[in-house]
Amino acid sequence: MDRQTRTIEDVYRRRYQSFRGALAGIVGSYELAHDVVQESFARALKSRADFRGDGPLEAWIWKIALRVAFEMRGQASQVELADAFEPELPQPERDEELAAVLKELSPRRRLVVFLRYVADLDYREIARVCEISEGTVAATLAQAKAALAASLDCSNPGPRELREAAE
Amino acid sequence: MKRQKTDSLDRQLSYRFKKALGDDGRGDWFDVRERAGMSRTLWHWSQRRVLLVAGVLVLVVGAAGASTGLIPWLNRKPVDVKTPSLAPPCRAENLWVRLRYQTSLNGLDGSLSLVNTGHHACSLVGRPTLTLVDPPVIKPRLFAKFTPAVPSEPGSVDLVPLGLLRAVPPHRAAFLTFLWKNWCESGPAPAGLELRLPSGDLVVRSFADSRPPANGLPPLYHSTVPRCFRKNWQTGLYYEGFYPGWTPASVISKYQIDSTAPLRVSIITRGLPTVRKRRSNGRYYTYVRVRRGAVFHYQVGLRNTSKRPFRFKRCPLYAESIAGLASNPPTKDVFVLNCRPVGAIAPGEIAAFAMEALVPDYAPLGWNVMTWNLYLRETAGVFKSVWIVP
Repeated sequence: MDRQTRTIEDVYRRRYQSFRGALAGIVGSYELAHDVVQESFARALKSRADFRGDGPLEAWIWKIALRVAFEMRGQASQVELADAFEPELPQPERDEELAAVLKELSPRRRLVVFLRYVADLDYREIARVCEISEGTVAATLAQAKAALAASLDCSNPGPRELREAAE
Repeated sequence: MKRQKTDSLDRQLSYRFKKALGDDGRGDWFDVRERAGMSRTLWHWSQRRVLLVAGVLVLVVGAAGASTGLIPWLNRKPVDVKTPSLAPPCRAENLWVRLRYQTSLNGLDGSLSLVNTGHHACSLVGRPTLTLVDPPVIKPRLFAKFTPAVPSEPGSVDLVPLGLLRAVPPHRAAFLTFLWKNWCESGPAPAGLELRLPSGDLVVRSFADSRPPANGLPPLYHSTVPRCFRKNWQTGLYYEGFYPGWTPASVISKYQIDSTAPLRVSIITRGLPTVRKRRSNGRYYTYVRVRRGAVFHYQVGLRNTSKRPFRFKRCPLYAESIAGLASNPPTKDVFVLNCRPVGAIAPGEIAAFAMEALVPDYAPLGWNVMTWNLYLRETAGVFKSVWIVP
């Protein structure tokens, strides 16, 4: 097994859940999201020689995954990610408030928030995926956070958070 | 991997998103390889792995019948527990409730266990309602926050998935936890808890004073009232959705989960590459050297600490992790122990198992920790300091 394959496998093994959870937000179901993850990593394996190593590997795979997710929704893969990001999840019954607030953000802010808090990417990786500068990522995220903080009740932590904080 | 500095709002948003989007799915790497047109035949394995397997086969054949030969590593992940079909909702008259609580620095920390006393399985899906009652006048000052139960952490084995709540078998219990904190009122404190099922059925009320406790519940006493953290905050009752409180029969029949197995775990370091490093106290320490992004081969020994031969009835699970805490959330890998070739482990004897662990490519260089745990045996875990090199 070559080193690149092993590294892709490592990303898959560590981050499968993140990919599936985030992609479910785009395609609308966990079953479809699983398919998107499998297909995305398969494409990453097939085209691993194309990865030039000029950025984080995970960001490169995320970009493939977002394209696959868009294809699965029937959208053209050439469409600008930052202009067309319309997540299907979270479903209101899981978190009504969050679903509503997310809908009010612009597609670009929504995508950046999604990549930051659901996909756990850092600014550099988000910049790679969205093809924007790190400064733009930081500014977009700051605006989105301000909007989210104003609309969500983030003042009181939940029991799990409290327990985690106490540990 | 470089991470940006996170503030508390960052952490809360990240937590909330994951909670809203999390589920308990599991990946299948072989499927990815097959989709990519990479078959899983021996010819596609790395030369190193083929050599290892061949070497291990020689060892196994050579040591046939002996229980102390090196047992080869088995690349087998545990099987997910199937989610049952949805049973009719649980009804209050078929539930027995137990309240447990303790005061802590955070406030009043408690749990409510609901045992299905009916003859048939019933479901506990949806959002229960927990409130503080008696006196009800504090309601406007009460901040109640419900969060759905969270599926297990990514990478961990979900032997008891939340989907089991779709059919709670007779005599089995589900539970919810709660935290009541920050009581800053001068008037009488609430002396009771009220729990309603997702259907709206009232299950229990627990009271401190004159009224008898309902459903065998101990009362809440005024001495348990949480301390005042912050005067301008409301008192808060935080609770989560139900969690299944039993191990499914399919898991018991498939894996060894007997916590009384007389086995002591050790990581066998003999023959492993090491590195000597000087610590801040001026003393030198020897660490096992592992390479970032590479597969680390090592051995684990299980010693039979009893006076009788020990045989596995079923193969147990184990979790291994190298620099797992460096990721967020922490990661570990879970596999089925290759117990079949073991036979009996004589008293005092050690069965040695070949192990493989992938050192993550994000692992920070330098000192770190690897852990190895027999699953469901909290006492059977070990850890070893390692030194990660590029």
